[in-house]
Amino acid sequence: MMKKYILSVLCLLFFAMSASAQKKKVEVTGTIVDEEGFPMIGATVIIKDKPGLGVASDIDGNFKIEVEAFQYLVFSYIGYENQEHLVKDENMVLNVKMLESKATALDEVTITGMGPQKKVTVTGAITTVEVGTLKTSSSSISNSLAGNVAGVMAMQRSGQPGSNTSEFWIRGISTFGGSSSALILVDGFERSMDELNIEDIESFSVLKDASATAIYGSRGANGVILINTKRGNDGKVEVNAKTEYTWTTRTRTPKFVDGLRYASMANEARTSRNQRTVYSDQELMMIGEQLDPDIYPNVDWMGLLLKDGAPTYRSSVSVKGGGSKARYYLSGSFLDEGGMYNVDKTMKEYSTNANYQRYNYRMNIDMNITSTTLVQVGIGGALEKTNRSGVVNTDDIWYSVFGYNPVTMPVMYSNGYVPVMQKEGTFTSSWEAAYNPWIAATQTGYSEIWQNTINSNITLEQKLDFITEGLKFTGRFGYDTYNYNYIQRRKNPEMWRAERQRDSNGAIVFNRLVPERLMSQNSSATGDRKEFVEAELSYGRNFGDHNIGSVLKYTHDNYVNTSGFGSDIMQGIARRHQGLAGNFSYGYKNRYLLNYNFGYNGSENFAKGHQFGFFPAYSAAWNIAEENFVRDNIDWLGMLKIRYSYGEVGSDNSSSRFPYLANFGNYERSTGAGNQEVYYNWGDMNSAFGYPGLSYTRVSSNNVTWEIAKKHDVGIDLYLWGDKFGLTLDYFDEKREGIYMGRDYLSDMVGIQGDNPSANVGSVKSEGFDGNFKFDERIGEVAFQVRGNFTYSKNEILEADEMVNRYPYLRRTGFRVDQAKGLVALGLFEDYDDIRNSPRQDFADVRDVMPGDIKYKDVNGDGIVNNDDIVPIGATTRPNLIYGLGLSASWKGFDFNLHFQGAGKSNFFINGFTVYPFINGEWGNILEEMADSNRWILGVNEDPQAEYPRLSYGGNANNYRPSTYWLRDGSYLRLKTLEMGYTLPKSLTQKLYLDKVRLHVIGQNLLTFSKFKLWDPEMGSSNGMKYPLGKTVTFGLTVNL
Amino acid sequence: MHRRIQRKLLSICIAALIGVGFGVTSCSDEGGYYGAEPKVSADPSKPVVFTDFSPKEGAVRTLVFIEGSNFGTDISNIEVTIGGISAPVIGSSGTKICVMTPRRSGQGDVAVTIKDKEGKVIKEHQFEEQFTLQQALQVNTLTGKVDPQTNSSSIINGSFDEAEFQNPWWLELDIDDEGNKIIYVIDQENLAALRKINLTTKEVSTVFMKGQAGVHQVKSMLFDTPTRDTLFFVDDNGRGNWNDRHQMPNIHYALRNEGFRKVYPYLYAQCSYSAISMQDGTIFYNTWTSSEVYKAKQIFDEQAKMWDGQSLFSVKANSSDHVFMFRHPDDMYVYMTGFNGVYRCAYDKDKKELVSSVLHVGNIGGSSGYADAPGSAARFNRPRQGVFVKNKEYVAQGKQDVYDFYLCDHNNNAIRKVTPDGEVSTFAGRGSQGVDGQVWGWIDGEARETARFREPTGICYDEEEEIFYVADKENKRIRTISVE
Repeated sequence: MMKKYILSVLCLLFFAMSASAQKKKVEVTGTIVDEEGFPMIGATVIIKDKPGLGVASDIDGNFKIEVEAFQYLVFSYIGYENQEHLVKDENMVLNVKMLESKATALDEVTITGMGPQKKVTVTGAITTVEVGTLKTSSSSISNSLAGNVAGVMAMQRSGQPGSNTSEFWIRGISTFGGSSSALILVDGFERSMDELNIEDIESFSVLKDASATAIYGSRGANGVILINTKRGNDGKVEVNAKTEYTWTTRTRTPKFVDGLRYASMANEARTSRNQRTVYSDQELMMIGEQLDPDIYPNVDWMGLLLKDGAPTYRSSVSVKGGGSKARYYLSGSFLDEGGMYNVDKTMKEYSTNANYQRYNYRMNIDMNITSTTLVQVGIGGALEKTNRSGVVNTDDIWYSVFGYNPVTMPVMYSNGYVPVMQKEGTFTSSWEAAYNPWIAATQTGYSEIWQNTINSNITLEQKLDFITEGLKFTGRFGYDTYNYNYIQRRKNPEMWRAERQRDSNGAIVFNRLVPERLMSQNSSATGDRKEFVEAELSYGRNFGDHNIGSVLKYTHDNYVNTSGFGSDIMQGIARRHQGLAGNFSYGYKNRYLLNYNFGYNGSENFAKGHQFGFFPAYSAAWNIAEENFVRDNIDWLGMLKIRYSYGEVGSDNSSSRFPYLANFGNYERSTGAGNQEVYYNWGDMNSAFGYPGLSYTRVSSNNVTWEIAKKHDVGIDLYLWGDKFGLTLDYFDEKREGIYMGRDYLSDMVGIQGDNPSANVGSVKSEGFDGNFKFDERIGEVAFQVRGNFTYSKNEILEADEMVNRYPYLRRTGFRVDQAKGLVALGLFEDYDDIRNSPRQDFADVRDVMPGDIKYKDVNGDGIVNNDDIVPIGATTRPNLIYGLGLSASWKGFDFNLHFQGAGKSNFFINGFTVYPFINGEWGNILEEMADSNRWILGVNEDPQAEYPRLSYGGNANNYRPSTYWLRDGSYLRLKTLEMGYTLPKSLTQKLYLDKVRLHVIGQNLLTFSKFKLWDPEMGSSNGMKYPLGKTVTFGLTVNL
Repeated sequence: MHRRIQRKLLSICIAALIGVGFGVTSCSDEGGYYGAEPKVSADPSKPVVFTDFSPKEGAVRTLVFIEGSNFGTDISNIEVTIGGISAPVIGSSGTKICVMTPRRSGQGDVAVTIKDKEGKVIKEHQFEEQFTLQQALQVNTLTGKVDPQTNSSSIINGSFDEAEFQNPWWLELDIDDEGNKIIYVIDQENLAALRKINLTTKEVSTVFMKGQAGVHQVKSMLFDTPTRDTLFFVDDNGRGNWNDRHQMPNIHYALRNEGFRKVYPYLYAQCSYSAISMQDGTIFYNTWTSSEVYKAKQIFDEQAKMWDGQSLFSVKANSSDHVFMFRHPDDMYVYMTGFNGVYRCAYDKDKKELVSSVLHVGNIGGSSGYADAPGSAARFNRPRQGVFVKNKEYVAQGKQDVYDFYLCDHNNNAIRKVTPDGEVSTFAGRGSQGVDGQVWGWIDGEARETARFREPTGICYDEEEEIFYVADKENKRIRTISVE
């Protein structure tokens, strides 16, 4: 409804524009044909510099247009060169033959930090992504990066609307200090890409090596993502409307056993350890036949909580156009992601579901004020609304649905009492996690969150050709604000737990564990503000075969946020950076290319004298294909370029503010008798009279300065047969030095109290490959493309502040950042002889280790298995390899797109109260996969290689600890995208006065292949207690006017 | 032709899209909770069939399952009697009814009445076989009302149904001049009130409140031996130092002929937790410091004109604890509960003196735990009041010591039994072991398998009726343990 309204208003708008006063008219008619003389349907004809609709050719290629005299007509068709023809002051017939545009590899454009640049002249490692291949049915474009963009590693940890964005790293992690996330620049300014409307994106590129990011100085140490939004262009008004409906289900949801099975396994866990059973046969029968559903229920909590799926709606409209003086791009979009929780249908006043809505708008206007002055104004914004149930932490719902076993609590007692298993705050910091899932999700009130982002930027471009040709000044100013508002309206019913037995009259005995809370409100708001100023002087000119370019850029940015700092002055001060960056490039005939960059950056987070850092970068490239002997002899070689770059980049990402300042506080020590705090006692013994003294609470770290990354990159760009086959391959090697970290292992003799100082002491080396290829071919009427990409990186800590250890494998140094560590499991003990003849395992009482328990390797050979035998095993939770393979094809109006994505070199431990059966007694469900697996069962299946050890009730210190036994392979391969589209034939759309109509179906995450089956391996979750990732089917309609 | 094919393709494509769309989105959107499943009554148009019931025998509270068909699931329309007494119906699946064996049912017929949804009887059935009630040791609740919402109670007198206790702590059984059986209760540790439970008239009353008695922190009470005319209250007066011994009384007394309503100071000494009155009239009391045991009124302090006790020994050398003393009915020895164990002191009847103590059961170091085992392998956790009970088997065996000792194991939530040979077992409580992993709670039923207590502290025994009475402190109720 809303969409229709917007559409009609927009229609009105441009009709009004086109209906401007007209002078002398001439009529031009004619036929448009292609090279082979076939009529072209739907080619557009517009009048140059006159904004308006223009006309399109009909089924037979004929067109007719009324024009004022002495105007140029522009003929265009996608994939063909534009043609301009002058119209004189009489009616005429104009027959036009369109020529196919001959794009070659040499014309391909890469967006760099200095602006668009021909790919052939680029010397740094940059991936430019075709925006059309970035597809996601969720709200954030970050979910489409994994396996789509060479050099980017990503993982999505949650599927909850409003927080279902992916984390990503460019070329993996290369530091363990502060932040390891990339710099994202939208229209040149540091902004988040999560709330961007995908349809607004014009270009997307990833700057990976030092020479490409040097212009961003300090902020680019972890790589840079450049996103430019669409701008208007000279020509016909284009209206683009798109609407999509998505049905979201889940890739994998953990499955739990039912009540009867749960109860019998609980009994098995007890008898297996020589304890008495939990449930008598009579009780099992009562659970099975549901004779007493209050005391012996059988509840499928997961089924109760979750719907089969949830819908997402998305629509967007954009208009672009303009003339030579001014151009515009306007867009608006709306997204509504539904949550998958069931709601209490009797409750009408508000929703408790996890919903997410977003409204986006964007307006980009370019104006040529004079022939040499261009002003660009961009305003974009987003309003995001998130709805949730009243519990503070939504993961609590998952904690509870994993914790509530099927037989302890009914959903509701038959007298209407609300059941709860534990008192609030009994076992987790979050007291609501003990509520039963139905109550937590539906009966606790609701929370609303809204976030408001406004991005505005203005750019002034002045050509200074009057000073010297090729000189240009660009000034940019950006101002972004963001605010976050949160209102929680919280309540809960009175909650009870029945005693395990009825009283002698057959009545249930209830104990009240949680009192009722009436709805109360709680709210908070935070906001931030960013300002950016950039002044850039650029010069680029060709002198014959010599090509010279240089850029000098001054940047200044300023960031303040107000999230609950209270009276902390240090946090309230804006975070500021200042930098001067330069770039000098030289090219000879596009054959030999040299590039020098530098960044001279300052950060006020460091002490004077340590604030500024100079970071140079060099790069060179040799275009072998441009050499005469190659060009003349090997015509199928479109491009062969070898690149190398080396550079240093700094990073000031440290969590602590002004580490060079010291803090003082009261000297806190209790020395008085009877635990009296007397500090410095000015009284007598037994009659203390104390004053606190002053002391350091934080020692200043004067010498803290930049963390420096030294990056090497060798790359090759290869194009064959024109641009039919393209390949880019990069090897990178990075050494991060001076990683900022706390000195936690200083000797006590230093005499420091309170927080330890920090220093630039860590060092990490990382290296890897990334690359992508594509192959285009046309067989008859079928055009297809195969493309693929991969990123592999491996890091190793060279130095970290840590204890000296006699066993090198216990240290962090020498292993990956966040390396998984645990014991090496050798299977399960076969019998008591096996236990006696093996090294002693020191985790539980020796008498409690039984056959069927995990047998560990005594790594250091001291005859005892203990914490000294914990070694690095597997890799990291984050994948170290990400790859993607895509295939797209089109035939007539049909198009088809297939994309597989995978991740490898990832391991994570599984643990928690569902993975370790009965570790917390009654709290924790039993996974069906575990129950069905080849698990060790006393007297039934005593397989020493079983997948799960002997059951135990209430935990088992020997079995339930990180070891290879619980380490899982996180690698997966999934059918990430399957898309089918059909574009209606021009002949039909023409009758509807439409330019293009396309229907499409997209399936995402339809298939997932992995060794790990319990939940989606991409989440990297150790216990699965997360909103599952979505498996979606989208139906969409795109209309272009 | 070409165009027609295109159109056909288009329509197929759109139809496919719509089809897939329906296929995906028409998945059920249902879920969530809409109240319990509706209960149905038996269908009067169909026959109600009874096949059998099981088990055929069992103790009170045994669940009996009646099998057949067309019972309906609405238990309000199902009536069952066992031995003529109405049995609570727990649930029905339509083909199986679950009922609980009522108290006082005796051996009896099992009769079932099934009604339709209007409450009209459609079938009455009596099984040919009878249900045999077996005897079993059962825990029941005598009195004590608690507000289930707040789990709170106060000092309220009245009938057993309406009376409330704050935290019953210590019990003494008595028979008054009119022959009524009475239990005196110290309500709350340190005595907020002395309560009186009249078992004959089934009424609870208050003898005096703390303020009326002028006592400080009464920890225990005892009748004098042998006359039982005087009731002593032992007071932790907070005066641990020897020098402060004359500041406050440590033992008070009240007289039967005054209905125990007026309280007088009896002894001035250091803080005490319990006392014993031997058959020869000798009184012993204990104190905190080094857990010393005193013989009362031995040394006369000329200066203060007061009698002081004579220190005999420490229950546990150089260690202090709240220790409670219990006299063997034949004066053979005295048990002392404390230091997470039971200590035993022989009584020298000639010298009228207790001889130093030895550990009978429990850990010598005083560490706590829960273990049923002989002697020093047994573990207790804060043992409190205990009571000697004559064991008929011992009498039949001609043993010299014929008394077992039953005590409240406060933090283990159980009643423990200690034999003269030092065997420790759990007599009642910690039942219904189940998924919640708890051992405490308010559950009546078979003493070991089902029943639970919550921090019991006081116990007394009615030898005539063979009933134990337990002050179940945190349940705020008086419980009974007896064979039914």
